[in-house]
Formats: sequence, structure tokens, C-alpha cells
Amino acid sequence: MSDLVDELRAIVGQEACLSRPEELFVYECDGLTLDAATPSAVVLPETTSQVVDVVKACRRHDTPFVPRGAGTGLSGGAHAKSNAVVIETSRMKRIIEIDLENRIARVQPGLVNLQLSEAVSHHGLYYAPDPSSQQVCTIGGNVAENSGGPHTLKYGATTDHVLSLEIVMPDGEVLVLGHNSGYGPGYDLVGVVTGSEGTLGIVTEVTVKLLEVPEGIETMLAIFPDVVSACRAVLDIIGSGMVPAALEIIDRRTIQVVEDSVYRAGLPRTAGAVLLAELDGARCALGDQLARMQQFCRDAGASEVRVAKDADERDLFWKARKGSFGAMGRLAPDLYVHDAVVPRAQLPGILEQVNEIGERYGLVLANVFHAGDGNLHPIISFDKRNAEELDRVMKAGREILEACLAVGGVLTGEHGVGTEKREFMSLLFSDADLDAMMKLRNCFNPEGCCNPGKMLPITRACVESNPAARGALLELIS
Amino acid sequence: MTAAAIERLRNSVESEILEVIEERPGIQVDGREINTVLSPRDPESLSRVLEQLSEEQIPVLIRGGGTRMGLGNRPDEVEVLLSTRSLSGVRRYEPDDGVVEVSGGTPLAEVREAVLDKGWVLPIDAGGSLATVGGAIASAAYGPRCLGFGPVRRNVLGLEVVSASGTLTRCGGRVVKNVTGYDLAKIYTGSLGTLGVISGAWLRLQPKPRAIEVRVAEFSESDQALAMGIVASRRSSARACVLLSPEVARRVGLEHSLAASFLLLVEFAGEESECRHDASWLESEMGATRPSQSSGEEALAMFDAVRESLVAGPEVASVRVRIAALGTKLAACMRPLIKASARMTVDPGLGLVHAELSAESSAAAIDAFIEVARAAAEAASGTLVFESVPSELKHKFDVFGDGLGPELALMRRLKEEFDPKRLLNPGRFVGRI
Repeated sequence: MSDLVDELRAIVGQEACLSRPEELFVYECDGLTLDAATPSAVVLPETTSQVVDVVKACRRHDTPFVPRGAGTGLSGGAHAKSNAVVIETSRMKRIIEIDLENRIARVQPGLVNLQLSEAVSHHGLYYAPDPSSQQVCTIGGNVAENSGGPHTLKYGATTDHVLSLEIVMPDGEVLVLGHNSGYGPGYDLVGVVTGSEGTLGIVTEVTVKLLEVPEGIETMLAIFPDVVSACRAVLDIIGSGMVPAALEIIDRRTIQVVEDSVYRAGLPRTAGAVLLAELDGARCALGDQLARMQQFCRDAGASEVRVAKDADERDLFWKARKGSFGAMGRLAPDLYVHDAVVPRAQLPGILEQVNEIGERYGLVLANVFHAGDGNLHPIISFDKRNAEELDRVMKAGREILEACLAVGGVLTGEHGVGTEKREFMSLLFSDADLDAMMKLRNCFNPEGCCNPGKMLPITRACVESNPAARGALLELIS
Repeated sequence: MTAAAIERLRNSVESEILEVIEERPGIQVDGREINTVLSPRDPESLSRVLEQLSEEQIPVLIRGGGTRMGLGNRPDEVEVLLSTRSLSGVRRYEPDDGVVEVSGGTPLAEVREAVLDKGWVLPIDAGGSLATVGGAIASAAYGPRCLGFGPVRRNVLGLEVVSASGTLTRCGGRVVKNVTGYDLAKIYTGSLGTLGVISGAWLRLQPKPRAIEVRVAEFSESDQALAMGIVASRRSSARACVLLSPEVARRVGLEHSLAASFLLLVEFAGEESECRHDASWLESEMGATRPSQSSGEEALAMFDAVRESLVAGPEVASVRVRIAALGTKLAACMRPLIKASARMTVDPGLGLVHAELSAESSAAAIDAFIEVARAAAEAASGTLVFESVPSELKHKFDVFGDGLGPELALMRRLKEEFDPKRLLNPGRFVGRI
């Protein structure tokens, strides 16, 4: 290993190669803190050619490598086992080109999401995907996870905004995929690399669309006696043909925690649920829609509807929503955030089930979710040092996922599979479905050296029908 | 492939899905004579058929509504055609969720009709009265409403695909937001049936707009038309926006003066106040040359006609190309095409130039046009697809252009993994994959 570290130092420079235990400590996990392992080294390249050299060096030494952005991922996508090298993109943060006329930008993967919007805001443009972590998460990480955010409802996820990519393949070859017009010839390789969780190669440049900042924005908060009536309002709003920019629900427990924290927004602590709804577009069309939306909320049982008077109040409303994960940190040392998606119409029923599961396992469970998309985020607070509690957390998590799948849902809407939901993939997909995914991976990453152990269940192929061997193997790889 | 293999296939499939074509000329695809048509009735039967074809190593052409059989390179030697026309029907419509599940061979028209009564619109805009969902997905079909609908890839939530060896697989799901596993639906979309046969799809719907306003304006200068087209396509309610050259305009039933070089046609859809606002914005921009107006159902028909004109057959256009380029490069792309008197449909918002030559064109004129189209794409650093070309010219060049670099090798690997025996639409795709 020390030979490899020397080579890596020669490529990226002494200060951009970390290998001392105290330096590596922060890289032992990402936003999923459940399983942790320290990589052998971390490199911070600045250029595509450095990434190529790092990849080739790792290949010569038969060492797997793991791309990493800001490490805010919530499914373990950036976890590296002890023998792996982490390639962190934080120094590849240049905006290479902004083409205002064509409304596109070409950037390095380590650029922080929000900084792209800030760089073009004075031209009336912005980059639409807005994960809650947008102040720190990177564009490259967003591409890897196909990140969404509250405004996915109207504007789509990362995949709808990426035009072309430069990628360092797991054998070190550099390819440019797609075309900046959005109409490249051949298979849509950009479409499959986006959301591939860093398992198909290392993205070193991204060309994205920029959108015009909407002329008008209206944001409102509606206070409901319970979460089911808030869901009813969401279904009525969408069923009426409106396409709001965002429809977010915060449940009672979340409201209480947020109001106890620095993110407080003056929400009534007795409320059963709060719906945060946003409309954007031409100013002339917003008034009518806002009135209809308020009516739907009242009809569904809202006791109070507040419309943000100005940008400050709007920010305050959003602070409560975007800060809710942070606020939740007050409850316990560890948080487990789920990410299942169900068909919208199933929301009221599934929330009852989720809460019932939480209660049955005696867990502190809160719900903050993208209601418009049917994307749930049950958050369980716990202390992972308590083995018995951790066991309950895992069991409850599995039951929640199974309940969501039973009503036509999927495992993850925006956080990715990573290591977290890898072994649950066979609950949703057949062996044939997973084989097709494996075939795709084999085209890009046949030896599996690029971000190994992610997304596809490891145990499936080798120990199909032997639970004991499966357990032993899981032990071995974790 | 041997006659004996075909004979064995004919004897083993259920007779009701088999059609033997004996008369000549029967069905021809780019000069390949089809002698057997298979029309499986459900995914399981499709699966059995593909398994048998794979065992016998018999290659097939795949056909949905047959609208776009002209697209693609000349296929390798093929005698069997697999039709999805009997794999048809809306399986499940969920108006509360705004999603619909359909069989792959369902005509788009049938889905459009089925979802309308509960206030939804199918956001897949592909021409051809028989065009199917599977065909529109496999060809990543374009229609002018893609400006507002988004491309096909955005509206495909999940797919059911039967592999080359006959295995039924699924990817994606029926929810509107999903990152569970690789997004395989993306590579099937636009793969021209070379990686698997689409037997079913979950599609995202869009709410039916409360109002529709269409405006038509005439320009004598193409540059002015283009500049206005780009700005108009960025209005928040613009759902479709095209520039039509006079011949195309007449074909879709629009009148114009002798001085016209292009007609700008814009469809505003959404909230009534917003449509009115955007339409009057366009009117004020046009000043004295007042655009003609149309609303509601009558207005809808105008862009339906534009969509259909883009799939008109060889009796209308001998050759048709599509060039994709950035907005700022469109003028450079259009210039040589205008000079060559091409008939054009330009989508300034999406950066697409469709250009065609009349059906009566001579061989020399077609050859010259092909060179002009290449030059136009190059001038705009764009990508080029020959959407329809006389079969006899197809051996001369790749209809998907030769713009791919080393990533073509990766695409070949993909084909090798998904269809190692090269049985599905062999030779048709980019690089003759």
C-alpha cells in the first residue's frame, strides 16, 4: 500500500494525498453513519488527467477506488472499505464555462450545488435541482445520486438537467458522453451514468441546463389537525391540474423539534401537520392558483393558511423545512432517514402504517416528506451504541420499506441504494431485473474496481439459497 | 439463417400469432423481404417467441405502428418481423396519481383518449395515427409539444422489457420519483429496439391545461423569425413553438403571403391568465404584423398537424434530416439549408432543425441535399440524424451520422451484453449496431 500512496503523492502532490489515520477519520462514512470503515488513502485531484493517473495507479496495485463529493450522501454511496482509495472531488470545483445565451454551464464535479446558482443569479438564471444539502453537496455527487429536492415536483431531478458528461472510465479512459444540445447519437449513456452512484466511472465534467428564475413565487403554510388531512389537500391540489413547484409536509413531531431549535418558524406546536406549498411562474397566473390552493387546504380541514408576505417570510417557511433534519439531531446522537416513494394516492394509508411501525418498535419517528412526489422521509432518532435499540431501528426500517413496496412503492426516491438498501433490492426486483443491471455495470466496470459493493446485492449470485452462507458472507464483506 | 430454422419456428409458435407472407412484394424493410410476421398477444407469449428465436438464432425486426420503419440503417439479413400490435391496451389508469400503465403496442391515440376524461394529458408527442407507446419510446420520438412535455425519457417512469433471450424484466417503477437501481429505462429509450422489446410501460401524465392559445406570425427574414422564436419558446406557458417554411406551413393548412420566409407558430397552454398574457406579449412584439389567433380545441389541431407533418412518408418527402444544435448555432445551421430550398420545421426552443426535400427530387438533388445537411450540422457543431432516406442510399453512410468517438465502443459493449447474438434489429442503430 505504501508504494501506491507514494505514487498517488507523486500524482496529486503531498498535501492532496491524505493517509494518516487522523486525516482519514472523517472519511470513514458519509451521511449514513451506520457502518463505517476507514479507507487506506484519500486523494484530492484538481484535474481530469490527475484522476486518470490516480485510477491507473490504483489499477496497477489492484486497489479499488471510491469517488466522493461532499460526503453528504445518505445511503453509504461514498463508503470505502479499508483497502480502498477515496477520490474526493472537492478541489475540482471550477466553473469551466457559463454560456448565458444558451443557458448552459460546464462545471467540474466538486462545485457546490448552490454556488452554481449564485454564480448565475445576477443574470436571472439558476440551477434547478435543490437537495436540502445544497449549501455543501456537489454537482458531481448530485449526478452520482440523481439527486432531487423539494422542487423536483415541477422541475424534475438531476437527470432532467444534465446534458453531457466527461467521465474517467474504470480503466482510465476518458470519454465524453452526450451532446450539449441534449440530442447525442446512440444510447443514452448520460441517462444511465446519472444515478449510477459512482459505480460506472468517475465523472470529471458536467454540462447542465440553467433555468430562468421564475417571475413570481408564492409560498404558503397550511396548518392541519393531522397528517392525513394534509395529504388529502395535496391529492386535491394535484388532481385539480395544478403543478406547484413544491408540496412538502412536516408532521407533528417534526414541528415540535423544529420549534425547539434554531430553525424555528413560529409554527403552532399543537398542529398535527403543516403543508408547505409553493407556486412559481408568471406573476399574473399565481393569484388564481394560490386562491384555489388555499381553498383546497381549508376544504381538507386546514385551520389556518399563511401566505408568505415577502422573500424573508418565504425563507423562514423554508428554514423550517430544510432545517428539520438538522433540528432532529437534538433528539439523539444518530438519525436514520428513510427515502421510500409510494404512489401519491397511497400517502394517507402508508403514513398511518409508518407511524404504527415506529410505535410498535418503541422508536422516536418523525416524518418530513415531499408529499407531491409521494417521497417519504421517515426519520428515526436513536443511539447506535445501544445495540438493542439499533436492532429495533433496523427491523422497523425493513418493515417500513416492505409496507411501501406492498402498495406499489420503491426503495428510494433520491438518496440512492448504496450499501444501505443494497440487500433490499431483491424485494423489488427479480433476479432477471438485477441481471440486466449487472450487464450494464459490466460494460463500464467489468472488474468491479470502481466503487465496489454498492447498489446491487452482493450475496445474490453466489449464495442464492443458503441463508447460512449468506450470513457468513455478509459478515465477511461488512 | 436457414429456411429449416424458419420452418421450425413456424411450426412451434401458436398459429394465431403467426402470419406467413407468401405474395410478392409483401413487406419490405429497406429492401429486406419479410416472410414471417409474429404478433404475440401478451408479454408471456412475446417471451416464448423471443426465446425460440434466440434458440434458433433467427434475427428479427421489431415493429410497433410502423410509423418510423424508415428510421435506422439498413438492417442485416432479416426475414422475420415481430409486431407488437396485439400487445395492446391500457392496463391501469391511476387518475389520482397521474400515471398510466400500458402495453407496449398500445397506440398513443388510444392512451391520449383514455386519460383525457379525468383531466390528464399523455405527454408523449409523436406523429403517426398508428404510432405506439413502445415505438415512441424506442425511437425517442420528437413532437413539437416536447417543449412543454419534456422529452420522452422524462415521462417514462418504468418499463417492462423482454430481453433478446426471452426473459421478462422490469426497470423503474410506477412512482414519479425513483432512484432505485440503475436507470435502465434511459438506455432502452431511444435504443431503437436493439436492446430488448418493450412490452409495457408506466408513464407520467400531465394535467390538462385550462386554456390553449395559438398564435401564428409571419416573417420575411429568417433571422428575425429565429430570434423571435427563441424568445417566444422561453415564455413560461409556451408548450410548443416552431418555425415553418412556407411549403410546410401550407401542408399543415396555414396561409401566408408571398413574402413569407418563415411562419412562427406558438402554442401557449396552462392557466388562462398566463396564456392570454403570453399571447398578448407576442402580439405586441409583432406590432403591425398582427399574428392570427386561435383558441381551445381548434388551436389544438394546429400543432397536431405540425406533429403529423414530421412523419409524412416518402410520398411527401424523399429525404428528411434532423439536426440538433445550441440555440446560438441555429442560424448557421439554417442558412445552407435555406439556400438549398429545403422545407423546414425548426424548434428554436429545443434546438432542432428538421429539413426535407420534396418527393419528386432527382437522385442528384438528393445527393446534393445530403451533403448540404452534413455541412449544416457541422457549421452548427450539431448532431445529425437522417430520419428518412431512400433505402438504396443507406449503404453509403451511417444514418445516425459519424459523430461518435470512442464512446461508440462502449455502446457496442452494451449491445454485446444485452443481445450477444445480434438478433434484435441487427445493423439498424448507430455504428450499425
